[in-house]
Amino acid sequence: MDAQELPRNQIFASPFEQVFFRLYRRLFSIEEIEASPVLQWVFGASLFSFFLTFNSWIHSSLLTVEAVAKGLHVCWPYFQSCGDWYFLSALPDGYSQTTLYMGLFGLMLLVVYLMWRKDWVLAHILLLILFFWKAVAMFVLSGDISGNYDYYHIILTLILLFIPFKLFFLKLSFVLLYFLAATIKIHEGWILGTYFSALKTGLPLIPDALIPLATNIVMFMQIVGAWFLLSSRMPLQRTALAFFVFFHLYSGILVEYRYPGTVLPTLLILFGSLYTNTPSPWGVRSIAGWILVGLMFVFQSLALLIPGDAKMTLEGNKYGLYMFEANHQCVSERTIEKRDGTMQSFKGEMALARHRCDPYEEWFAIQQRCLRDTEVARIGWTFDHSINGGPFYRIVDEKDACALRYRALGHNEWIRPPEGGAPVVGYPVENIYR
Amino acid sequence: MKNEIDHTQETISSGKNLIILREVQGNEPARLTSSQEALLSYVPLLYTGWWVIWLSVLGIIFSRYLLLPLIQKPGRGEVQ
Repeated sequence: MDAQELPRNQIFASPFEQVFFRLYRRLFSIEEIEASPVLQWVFGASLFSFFLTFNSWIHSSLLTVEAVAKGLHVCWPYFQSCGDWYFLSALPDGYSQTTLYMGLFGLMLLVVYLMWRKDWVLAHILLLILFFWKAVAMFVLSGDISGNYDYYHIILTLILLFIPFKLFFLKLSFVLLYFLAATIKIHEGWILGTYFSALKTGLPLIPDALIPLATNIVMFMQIVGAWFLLSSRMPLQRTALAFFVFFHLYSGILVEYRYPGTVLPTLLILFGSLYTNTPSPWGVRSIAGWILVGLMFVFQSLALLIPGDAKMTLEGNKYGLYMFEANHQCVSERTIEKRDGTMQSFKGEMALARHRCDPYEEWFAIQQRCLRDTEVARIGWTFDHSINGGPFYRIVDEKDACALRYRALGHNEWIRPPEGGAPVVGYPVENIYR
Repeated sequence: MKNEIDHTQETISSGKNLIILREVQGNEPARLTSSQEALLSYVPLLYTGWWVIWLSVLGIIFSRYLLLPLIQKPGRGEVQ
Protein backbone atom coordinates (compact mmCIF):
# COMPACT_ATOMS: atom_id res chain seq x y z
CA MET A 1 0.00 0.00 0.00
CA ASP A 2 1.25 3.49 -0.85
CA ALA A 3 2.27 5.36 2.31
CA GLN A 4 0.12 8.30 1.25
CA GLU A 5 -2.98 6.10 1.44
CA LEU A 6 -2.45 5.24 5.09
CA PRO A 7 -5.14 6.81 7.28
CA ARG A 8 -2.55 8.50 9.52
CA ASN A 9 -0.99 10.27 6.56
CA GLN A 10 -4.36 11.44 5.30
CA ILE A 11 -5.72 12.61 8.66
CA PHE A 12 -2.53 13.86 10.33
CA ALA A 13 -0.59 15.50 7.52
CA SER A 14 1.21 18.34 9.30
CA PRO A 15 5.03 18.14 9.55
CA PHE A 16 4.87 17.99 13.34
CA GLU A 17 2.41 15.09 13.27
CA GLN A 18 4.49 13.25 10.70
CA VAL A 19 7.62 13.61 12.84
CA PHE A 20 5.68 12.29 15.84
CA PHE A 21 4.52 9.21 13.92
CA ARG A 22 8.02 8.52 12.60
CA LEU A 23 9.48 8.69 16.11
CA TYR A 24 6.62 6.62 17.52
CA ARG A 25 7.07 3.97 14.84
CA ARG A 26 10.79 3.74 15.58
CA LEU A 27 10.42 3.83 19.37
CA PHE A 28 8.07 0.83 19.44
CA SER A 29 9.70 -1.09 16.56
CA ILE A 30 6.45 -1.06 14.60
CA GLU A 31 8.31 -1.84 11.38
CA GLU A 32 8.58 -5.40 12.75
CA ILE A 33 4.78 -5.68 12.79
CA GLU A 34 4.52 -4.15 9.32
CA ALA A 35 6.93 -6.78 7.95
CA SER A 36 5.62 -9.87 9.73
CA PRO A 37 2.28 -11.58 9.03
CA VAL A 38 2.81 -13.62 12.22
CA LEU A 39 2.96 -10.47 14.35
CA GLN A 40 -0.06 -9.07 12.53
CA TRP A 41 -2.02 -12.20 13.43
CA VAL A 42 -0.81 -11.96 17.04
CA PHE A 43 -2.03 -8.37 17.00
CA GLY A 44 -5.48 -9.68 16.06
CA ALA A 45 -5.32 -12.40 18.74
CA SER A 46 -4.46 -9.80 21.36
CA LEU A 47 -7.39 -7.66 20.24
CA PHE A 48 -9.67 -10.69 20.56
CA SER A 49 -8.44 -11.20 24.13
CA PHE A 50 -9.23 -7.57 24.95
CA PHE A 51 -12.75 -8.24 23.71
CA LEU A 52 -13.03 -11.34 25.91
CA THR A 53 -11.76 -9.36 28.92
CA PHE A 54 -13.97 -6.31 28.56
CA ASN A 55 -16.98 -8.47 27.68
CA SER A 56 -16.60 -9.88 31.19
CA TRP A 57 -15.67 -6.64 32.96
CA ILE A 58 -18.51 -4.55 31.55
CA HIS A 59 -21.04 -6.22 33.87
CA SER A 60 -18.74 -6.71 36.84
CA SER A 61 -19.30 -4.53 39.90
CA LEU A 62 -15.79 -5.12 41.26
CA LEU A 63 -14.39 -1.79 40.05
CA THR A 64 -17.27 0.45 41.05
CA VAL A 65 -17.73 3.09 43.73
CA GLU A 66 -20.72 1.05 44.94
CA ALA A 67 -18.41 -1.91 45.64
CA VAL A 68 -16.20 0.38 47.72
CA ALA A 69 -19.23 1.75 49.60
CA LYS A 70 -20.24 -1.79 50.52
CA GLY A 71 -16.67 -2.83 51.34
CA LEU A 72 -16.77 -5.51 48.62
CA HIS A 73 -13.76 -4.38 46.62
CA VAL A 74 -10.36 -6.08 46.97
CA CYS A 75 -7.09 -4.18 46.55
CA TRP A 76 -3.66 -5.66 45.98
CA PRO A 77 -1.62 -6.07 49.17
CA TYR A 78 0.88 -3.54 47.79
CA PHE A 79 -1.80 -0.84 47.23
CA GLN A 80 -4.41 -1.29 49.91
CA SER A 81 -6.02 2.13 49.39
CA CYS A 82 -7.04 1.38 45.79
CA GLY A 83 -10.71 2.05 46.58
CA ASP A 84 -9.96 5.77 46.91
CA TRP A 85 -9.37 5.85 43.16
CA TYR A 86 -12.58 4.19 41.97
CA PHE A 87 -14.79 6.35 39.78
CA LEU A 88 -17.10 3.99 37.86
CA SER A 89 -20.73 3.10 38.52
CA ALA A 90 -22.24 0.00 36.95
CA LEU A 91 -25.86 -0.68 36.16
CA PRO A 92 -28.29 -0.38 37.86
CA ASP A 93 -26.51 2.39 39.82
CA GLY A 94 -25.11 4.39 36.92
CA TYR A 95 -23.97 4.48 33.31
CA SER A 96 -20.29 5.39 33.60
CA GLN A 97 -18.92 1.82 33.48
CA THR A 98 -20.94 0.74 30.45
CA THR A 99 -20.09 4.08 28.79
CA LEU A 100 -16.38 3.43 29.31
CA TYR A 101 -16.55 -0.10 27.95
CA MET A 102 -18.63 0.91 24.94
CA GLY A 103 -15.98 3.56 24.25
CA LEU A 104 -13.37 0.79 24.38
CA PHE A 105 -15.60 -1.32 22.11
CA GLY A 106 -15.53 1.54 19.60
CA LEU A 107 -11.73 1.61 19.84
CA MET A 108 -11.62 -2.13 19.17
CA LEU A 109 -13.69 -1.68 16.02
CA LEU A 110 -11.37 1.11 14.93
CA VAL A 111 -8.33 -1.12 15.48
CA VAL A 112 -9.89 -3.74 13.19
CA TYR A 113 -10.39 -1.07 10.51
CA LEU A 114 -6.81 0.20 10.89
CA MET A 115 -5.45 -3.34 10.70
CA TRP A 116 -7.38 -3.83 7.47
CA ARG A 117 -5.91 -0.58 6.13
CA LYS A 118 -2.46 -1.76 7.33
CA ASP A 119 -1.91 1.40 9.37
CA TRP A 120 -0.04 -0.36 12.16
CA VAL A 121 1.06 2.87 13.83
CA LEU A 122 -2.47 4.11 14.51
CA ALA A 123 -3.61 0.57 15.34
CA HIS A 124 -0.71 0.35 17.81
CA ILE A 125 -1.68 3.64 19.49
CA LEU A 126 -5.25 2.46 19.99
CA LEU A 127 -4.20 -0.98 21.23
CA LEU A 128 -1.96 0.84 23.70
CA ILE A 129 -5.03 2.55 25.19
CA LEU A 130 -6.76 -0.83 25.63
CA PHE A 131 -3.59 -2.23 27.17
CA PHE A 132 -3.24 0.75 29.54
CA TRP A 133 -6.75 0.37 30.94
CA LYS A 134 -6.45 -3.38 31.36
CA ALA A 135 -3.05 -3.13 33.07
CA VAL A 136 -4.19 -0.35 35.42
CA ALA A 137 -7.38 -2.22 36.33
CA MET A 138 -5.48 -5.49 36.89
CA PHE A 139 -2.42 -4.30 38.77
CA VAL A 140 -3.41 -0.97 40.37
CA LEU A 141 -7.15 -0.74 40.90
CA SER A 142 -8.24 -4.27 41.73
CA GLY A 143 -6.71 -7.36 43.26
CA ASP A 144 -9.39 -9.71 42.04
CA ILE A 145 -10.83 -8.55 38.74
CA SER A 146 -8.39 -10.55 36.63
CA GLY A 147 -7.72 -14.23 36.14
CA ASN A 148 -4.38 -15.90 35.59
CA TYR A 149 -5.07 -16.11 31.85
CA ASP A 150 -4.95 -12.31 31.85
CA TYR A 151 -1.27 -12.51 32.85
CA TYR A 152 -0.62 -14.40 29.60
CA HIS A 153 -2.44 -11.75 27.62
CA ILE A 154 -0.78 -8.80 29.35
CA ILE A 155 2.76 -10.23 29.00
CA LEU A 156 2.34 -11.16 25.33
CA THR A 157 0.72 -7.81 24.50
CA LEU A 158 3.44 -5.94 26.38
CA ILE A 159 6.01 -7.63 24.13
CA LEU A 160 3.97 -6.94 21.01
CA LEU A 161 3.60 -3.27 21.89
CA PHE A 162 6.91 -2.28 23.45
CA ILE A 163 9.74 -4.77 23.04
CA PRO A 164 12.13 -4.98 20.06
CA PHE A 165 12.65 -8.44 18.51
CA LYS A 166 8.96 -9.04 19.10
CA LEU A 167 8.71 -12.39 17.37
CA PHE A 168 11.58 -13.98 19.27
CA PHE A 169 10.47 -12.73 22.68
CA LEU A 170 6.84 -13.67 22.03
CA LYS A 171 7.89 -17.26 21.30
CA LEU A 172 10.34 -17.46 24.19
CA SER A 173 7.90 -15.90 26.68
CA PHE A 174 5.10 -18.19 25.56
CA VAL A 175 7.23 -21.25 26.30
CA LEU A 176 8.49 -19.68 29.54
CA LEU A 177 4.91 -19.21 30.73
CA TYR A 178 4.43 -22.98 30.50
CA PHE A 179 7.80 -23.62 32.11
CA LEU A 180 7.16 -21.21 35.00
CA ALA A 181 3.59 -22.46 35.47
CA ALA A 182 5.11 -25.90 36.13
CA THR A 183 6.75 -24.63 39.33
CA ILE A 184 3.37 -24.29 41.04
CA LYS A 185 2.54 -27.88 40.08
CA ILE A 186 5.57 -29.37 41.82
CA HIS A 187 3.44 -30.15 44.83
CA GLU A 188 1.45 -33.08 46.19
CA GLY A 189 -1.70 -31.73 44.53
CA TRP A 190 -0.24 -32.51 41.10
CA ILE A 191 2.32 -35.21 41.90
CA LEU A 192 -0.46 -37.39 43.36
CA GLY A 193 -3.23 -35.58 41.50
CA THR A 194 -5.18 -34.90 44.70
CA TYR A 195 -6.36 -31.60 43.22
CA PHE A 196 -8.62 -33.62 40.94
CA SER A 197 -9.35 -36.71 43.03
CA ALA A 198 -10.72 -34.35 45.71
CA LEU A 199 -13.33 -33.20 43.21
CA LYS A 200 -16.70 -34.90 43.24
CA THR A 201 -16.47 -35.11 39.44
CA GLY A 202 -12.78 -36.16 39.29
CA LEU A 203 -10.61 -35.36 36.28
CA PRO A 204 -12.72 -35.03 33.10
CA LEU A 205 -12.91 -38.22 31.00
CA ILE A 206 -10.08 -39.92 32.92
CA PRO A 207 -10.54 -42.76 35.44
CA ASP A 208 -9.48 -41.95 39.00
CA ALA A 209 -6.72 -44.57 38.92
CA LEU A 210 -5.00 -42.74 36.03
CA ILE A 211 -5.15 -39.26 37.57
CA PRO A 212 -1.51 -39.30 38.82
CA LEU A 213 -0.32 -40.42 35.38
CA ALA A 214 -2.23 -37.62 33.65
CA THR A 215 -1.05 -34.90 36.03
CA ASN A 216 2.58 -36.01 35.82
CA ILE A 217 2.43 -36.06 32.00
CA VAL A 218 1.24 -32.44 32.08
CA MET A 219 4.11 -31.53 34.41
CA PHE A 220 6.61 -33.25 32.11
CA MET A 221 5.27 -31.44 29.07
CA GLN A 222 5.32 -28.06 30.78
CA ILE A 223 8.86 -28.53 32.04
CA VAL A 224 10.49 -30.41 29.13
CA GLY A 225 8.06 -30.72 26.21
CA ALA A 226 7.24 -27.02 25.94
CA TRP A 227 10.77 -26.22 24.79
CA PHE A 228 10.26 -28.40 21.72
CA LEU A 229 7.79 -25.79 20.50
CA LEU A 230 10.97 -23.85 19.62
CA SER A 231 12.62 -26.79 17.87
CA SER A 232 13.81 -26.69 14.28
CA ARG A 233 13.14 -30.45 14.06
CA MET A 234 9.64 -30.39 12.73
CA PRO A 235 8.40 -33.80 13.98
CA LEU A 236 9.31 -32.81 17.54
CA GLN A 237 7.94 -29.30 17.12
CA ARG A 238 4.66 -30.58 15.68
CA THR A 239 4.30 -33.20 18.43
CA ALA A 240 4.73 -30.53 21.12
CA LEU A 241 2.26 -28.27 19.32
CA ALA A 242 -0.31 -31.07 19.01
CA PHE A 243 0.02 -31.84 22.71
CA PHE A 244 -0.56 -28.26 23.82
CA VAL A 245 -3.46 -27.73 21.42
CA PHE A 246 -5.05 -30.86 22.87
CA PHE A 247 -4.17 -29.72 26.40
CA HIS A 248 -5.98 -26.40 25.98
CA LEU A 249 -9.03 -27.96 24.34
CA TYR A 250 -9.16 -30.58 27.08
CA SER A 251 -8.65 -28.13 29.97
CA GLY A 252 -11.48 -26.05 28.53
CA ILE A 253 -13.82 -28.80 29.77
CA LEU A 254 -13.07 -27.40 33.21
CA VAL A 255 -12.10 -23.77 32.64
CA GLU A 256 -14.45 -23.07 29.70
CA TYR A 257 -13.68 -20.57 26.90
CA ARG A 258 -11.75 -17.77 28.56
CA TYR A 259 -8.32 -19.41 29.04
CA PRO A 260 -8.19 -21.34 25.74
CA GLY A 261 -9.65 -18.27 24.02
CA THR A 262 -6.72 -16.22 25.28
CA VAL A 263 -3.93 -18.73 24.73
CA LEU A 264 -4.85 -21.06 21.85
CA PRO A 265 -4.97 -18.47 19.04
CA THR A 266 -1.50 -17.16 19.92
CA LEU A 267 -0.16 -20.72 20.31
CA LEU A 268 -1.38 -21.64 16.82
CA ILE A 269 -0.13 -18.39 15.27
CA LEU A 270 3.36 -18.53 16.79
CA PHE A 271 3.95 -22.28 16.50
CA GLY A 272 1.50 -23.47 13.84
CA SER A 273 1.81 -23.43 10.06
CA LEU A 274 3.56 -20.03 10.07
CA TYR A 275 6.28 -21.26 12.44
CA THR A 276 9.90 -20.65 11.51
CA ASN A 277 12.99 -20.71 13.65
CA THR A 278 13.84 -17.28 15.06
CA PRO A 279 17.45 -16.51 16.06
CA SER A 280 18.21 -15.22 19.57
CA PRO A 281 18.85 -11.49 19.51
CA TRP A 282 21.80 -9.95 21.28
CA GLY A 283 22.98 -6.38 21.68
CA VAL A 284 21.59 -3.22 23.20
CA ARG A 285 18.18 -3.37 21.51
CA SER A 286 17.48 -6.79 22.98
CA ILE A 287 18.07 -5.67 26.58
CA ALA A 288 14.42 -4.80 27.24
CA GLY A 289 13.33 -8.28 26.18
CA TRP A 290 15.91 -10.03 28.34
CA ILE A 291 14.97 -7.86 31.33
CA LEU A 292 11.34 -8.89 30.88
CA VAL A 293 12.39 -12.56 30.79
CA GLY A 294 14.34 -12.03 34.02
CA LEU A 295 11.37 -10.31 35.67
CA MET A 296 9.15 -13.26 34.83
CA PHE A 297 11.49 -15.49 36.85
CA VAL A 298 11.66 -12.94 39.69
CA PHE A 299 7.90 -12.59 40.06
CA GLN A 300 7.36 -16.35 39.85
CA SER A 301 9.94 -16.81 42.63
CA LEU A 302 8.29 -14.46 45.13
CA ALA A 303 5.75 -16.98 46.45
CA LEU A 304 8.53 -19.57 46.83
CA LEU A 305 10.73 -17.17 48.78
CA ILE A 306 8.08 -16.33 51.39
CA PRO A 307 8.23 -18.88 54.25
CA GLY A 308 5.35 -21.37 54.38
CA ASP A 309 3.42 -23.21 51.70
CA ALA A 310 2.00 -20.47 49.49
CA LYS A 311 -0.83 -22.79 48.46
CA MET A 312 -2.00 -22.81 52.08
CA THR A 313 -1.16 -19.22 53.11
CA LEU A 314 -1.65 -17.68 49.64
CA GLU A 315 1.10 -15.18 50.49
CA GLY A 316 2.67 -13.98 47.25
CA ASN A 317 0.52 -16.46 45.31
CA LYS A 318 -0.81 -13.97 42.77
CA TYR A 319 2.51 -12.30 42.01
CA GLY A 320 3.28 -15.12 39.60
CA LEU A 321 1.33 -17.76 37.71
CA TYR A 322 -1.11 -19.55 39.99
CA MET A 323 -3.51 -21.43 37.73
CA PHE A 324 -4.61 -24.75 39.29
CA GLU A 325 -2.10 -24.34 42.10
CA ALA A 326 -4.44 -26.06 44.62
CA ASN A 327 -8.00 -27.18 45.18
CA HIS A 328 -9.30 -24.91 47.95
CA GLN A 329 -12.00 -25.15 50.61
CA CYS A 330 -12.34 -22.82 53.57
CA VAL A 331 -14.45 -21.71 56.50
CA SER A 332 -14.14 -18.20 57.89
CA GLU A 333 -15.88 -17.19 61.08
CA ARG A 334 -16.06 -13.63 62.39
CA THR A 335 -17.29 -12.66 65.82
CA ILE A 336 -18.09 -8.96 65.93
CA GLU A 337 -17.99 -7.34 69.34
CA LYS A 338 -19.79 -3.98 69.40
CA ARG A 339 -19.12 -1.08 71.71
CA ASP A 340 -22.46 -1.61 73.45
CA GLY A 341 -21.32 -5.11 74.39
CA THR A 342 -23.48 -7.04 71.92
CA MET A 343 -21.97 -9.81 69.82
CA GLN A 344 -22.68 -11.01 66.28
CA SER A 345 -21.27 -14.08 64.53
CA PHE A 346 -20.91 -14.68 60.81
CA LYS A 347 -19.74 -17.83 59.15
CA GLY A 348 -18.68 -17.91 55.52
CA GLU A 349 -17.92 -21.13 53.68
CA MET A 350 -16.47 -21.80 50.31
CA ALA A 351 -16.12 -25.23 48.76
CA LEU A 352 -15.49 -24.27 45.13
CA ALA A 353 -12.10 -25.66 44.12
CA ARG A 354 -11.14 -22.65 42.01
CA HIS A 355 -11.96 -20.03 44.62
CA ARG A 356 -8.67 -19.08 46.26
CA CYS A 357 -9.23 -19.10 49.98
CA ASP A 358 -6.94 -16.16 50.51
CA PRO A 359 -6.72 -15.00 54.14
CA TYR A 360 -5.67 -11.61 52.78
CA GLU A 361 -8.98 -11.11 50.97
CA GLU A 362 -10.93 -12.02 54.09
CA TRP A 363 -8.68 -9.78 56.21
CA PHE A 364 -9.23 -6.95 53.72
CA ALA A 365 -13.02 -7.32 54.00
CA ILE A 366 -12.76 -7.30 57.81
CA GLN A 367 -10.65 -4.14 57.66
CA GLN A 368 -13.35 -2.40 55.60
CA ARG A 369 -15.85 -3.22 58.33
CA CYS A 370 -13.49 -2.06 61.08
CA LEU A 371 -12.86 1.24 59.27
CA ARG A 372 -16.46 2.05 58.35
CA ASP A 373 -18.53 0.77 61.24
CA THR A 374 -17.88 2.96 64.29
CA GLU A 375 -19.95 0.63 66.49
CA VAL A 376 -17.41 -2.18 66.06
CA ALA A 377 -15.07 -2.55 69.04
CA ARG A 378 -13.21 -5.55 67.69
CA ILE A 379 -13.65 -8.57 65.43
CA GLY A 380 -12.54 -12.05 66.42
CA TRP A 381 -11.64 -14.20 63.43
CA THR A 382 -10.84 -17.82 62.65
CA PHE A 383 -9.92 -19.04 59.19
CA ASP A 384 -9.78 -22.76 58.34
CA HIS A 385 -8.24 -23.83 55.05
CA SER A 386 -8.06 -27.19 53.32
CA ILE A 387 -6.14 -27.82 50.09
CA ASN A 388 -6.43 -30.77 47.72
CA GLY A 389 -8.83 -32.68 49.98
CA GLY A 390 -6.42 -32.54 52.93
CA PRO A 391 -7.33 -31.56 56.49
CA PHE A 392 -8.72 -28.17 57.43
CA TYR A 393 -6.00 -26.27 59.26
CA ARG A 394 -6.91 -23.31 61.44
CA ILE A 395 -4.35 -20.96 59.90
CA VAL A 396 -5.80 -17.82 61.51
CA ASP A 397 -7.13 -17.57 65.05
CA GLU A 398 -7.16 -13.95 66.24
CA LYS A 399 -9.11 -12.15 68.92
CA ASP A 400 -8.93 -8.75 67.22
CA ALA A 401 -8.55 -8.85 63.43
CA CYS A 402 -8.97 -5.05 63.26
CA ALA A 403 -5.53 -4.68 64.80
CA LEU A 404 -3.81 -6.93 62.25
CA ARG A 405 -1.69 -5.56 59.43
CA TYR A 406 -0.83 -7.37 56.19
CA ARG A 407 2.66 -7.33 54.70
CA ALA A 408 2.66 -7.45 50.90
CA LEU A 409 6.12 -9.02 50.63
CA GLY A 410 6.99 -11.47 53.35
CA HIS A 411 5.32 -13.75 55.83
CA ASN A 412 2.59 -12.45 58.13
CA GLU A 413 3.08 -13.95 61.56
CA TRP A 414 -0.65 -14.13 62.26
CA ILE A 415 -1.08 -16.61 59.38
CA ARG A 416 0.06 -19.91 60.84
CA PRO A 417 0.91 -22.60 58.25
CA PRO A 418 0.62 -26.29 59.21
CA GLU A 419 4.37 -26.56 59.72
CA GLY A 420 4.09 -23.55 62.06
CA GLY A 421 1.69 -25.40 64.32
CA ALA A 422 -1.74 -24.67 62.83
CA PRO A 423 -4.09 -27.27 64.36
CA VAL A 424 -6.23 -29.65 62.31
CA VAL A 425 -9.88 -28.78 62.91
CA GLY A 426 -11.66 -30.99 60.42
CA TYR A 427 -11.72 -32.89 57.14
CA PRO A 428 -13.48 -31.99 53.92
CA VAL A 429 -15.71 -33.98 51.65
CA GLU A 430 -15.33 -34.03 47.87
CA ASN A 431 -15.98 -30.60 46.43
CA ILE A 432 -16.87 -29.14 43.06
CA TYR A 433 -15.12 -27.11 40.38
CA ARG A 434 -16.64 -23.74 39.63
CA MET B 1 -14.75 -14.92 50.36
CA LYS B 2 -16.62 -11.73 49.53
CA ASN B 3 -19.16 -12.51 52.25
CA GLU B 4 -20.71 -15.16 50.03
CA ILE B 5 -22.27 -18.31 51.34
CA ASP B 6 -22.59 -21.28 49.06
CA HIS B 7 -26.10 -22.44 49.70
CA THR B 8 -25.43 -25.95 48.44
CA GLN B 9 -23.11 -26.44 51.39
CA GLU B 10 -23.58 -26.51 55.10
CA THR B 11 -21.14 -26.86 57.91
CA ILE B 12 -21.64 -29.30 60.70
CA SER B 13 -19.67 -29.82 63.86
CA SER B 14 -19.26 -33.38 64.94
CA GLY B 15 -18.71 -32.54 68.60
CA LYS B 16 -15.09 -33.61 68.27
CA ASN B 17 -14.00 -30.20 67.10
CA LEU B 18 -14.21 -31.34 63.48
CA ILE B 19 -15.52 -29.24 60.64
CA ILE B 20 -16.84 -31.08 57.65
CA LEU B 21 -18.17 -29.38 54.56
CA ARG B 22 -20.79 -31.54 52.97
CA GLU B 23 -23.56 -31.14 50.48
CA VAL B 24 -27.07 -31.14 51.84
CA GLN B 25 -27.78 -34.27 49.80
CA GLY B 26 -24.78 -36.01 51.38
CA ASN B 27 -21.39 -36.65 49.91
CA GLU B 28 -18.26 -38.76 50.25
CA PRO B 29 -15.24 -37.61 52.26
CA ALA B 30 -12.27 -36.77 50.06
CA ARG B 31 -10.07 -39.89 49.95
CA LEU B 32 -6.96 -41.03 48.15
CA THR B 33 -7.43 -43.46 45.27
CA SER B 34 -5.51 -46.74 45.25
CA SER B 35 -2.90 -45.43 42.80
CA GLN B 36 -2.37 -42.37 45.00
CA GLU B 37 -2.01 -44.57 48.07
CA ALA B 38 0.68 -46.52 46.23
CA LEU B 39 2.55 -43.33 45.31
CA LEU B 40 2.15 -41.62 48.66
CA SER B 41 5.44 -42.73 50.19
CA TYR B 42 7.32 -41.59 47.05
CA VAL B 43 6.02 -38.01 47.16
CA PRO B 44 9.20 -36.52 48.74
CA LEU B 45 11.33 -38.32 46.14
CA LEU B 46 9.11 -37.25 43.26
CA TYR B 47 8.99 -33.69 44.59
CA THR B 48 12.78 -33.49 44.67
CA GLY B 49 13.00 -35.24 41.29
CA TRP B 50 10.73 -32.75 39.58
CA TRP B 51 12.73 -29.81 40.94
CA VAL B 52 15.98 -31.43 39.78
CA ILE B 53 14.48 -31.86 36.30
CA TRP B 54 13.17 -28.27 36.26
CA LEU B 55 16.53 -26.82 37.30
CA SER B 56 18.40 -29.10 34.87
CA VAL B 57 16.24 -27.98 31.95
CA LEU B 58 16.76 -24.36 32.96
CA GLY B 59 20.51 -24.95 33.14
CA ILE B 60 20.60 -26.67 29.72
CA ILE B 61 18.55 -23.94 28.02
CA PHE B 62 20.57 -21.18 29.61
CA SER B 63 24.01 -22.60 28.92
CA ARG B 64 23.54 -24.34 25.59
CA TYR B 65 21.14 -22.06 23.77
CA LEU B 66 21.60 -18.68 25.40
CA LEU B 67 24.99 -18.44 27.09
CA LEU B 68 27.11 -20.53 24.73
CA PRO B 69 26.11 -18.75 21.50
CA LEU B 70 26.72 -15.46 23.23
CA ILE B 71 30.25 -16.50 24.19
CA GLN B 72 31.12 -18.18 20.90
CA LYS B 73 29.44 -15.96 18.32
CA PRO B 74 28.31 -12.67 19.77
CA GLY B 75 25.22 -11.47 17.98
CA ARG B 76 24.68 -14.73 16.15
CA GLY B 77 23.24 -17.00 18.82
CA GLU B 78 20.27 -19.09 17.90
CA VAL B 79 17.62 -20.85 19.89
CA GLN B 80 16.99 -24.20 18.24
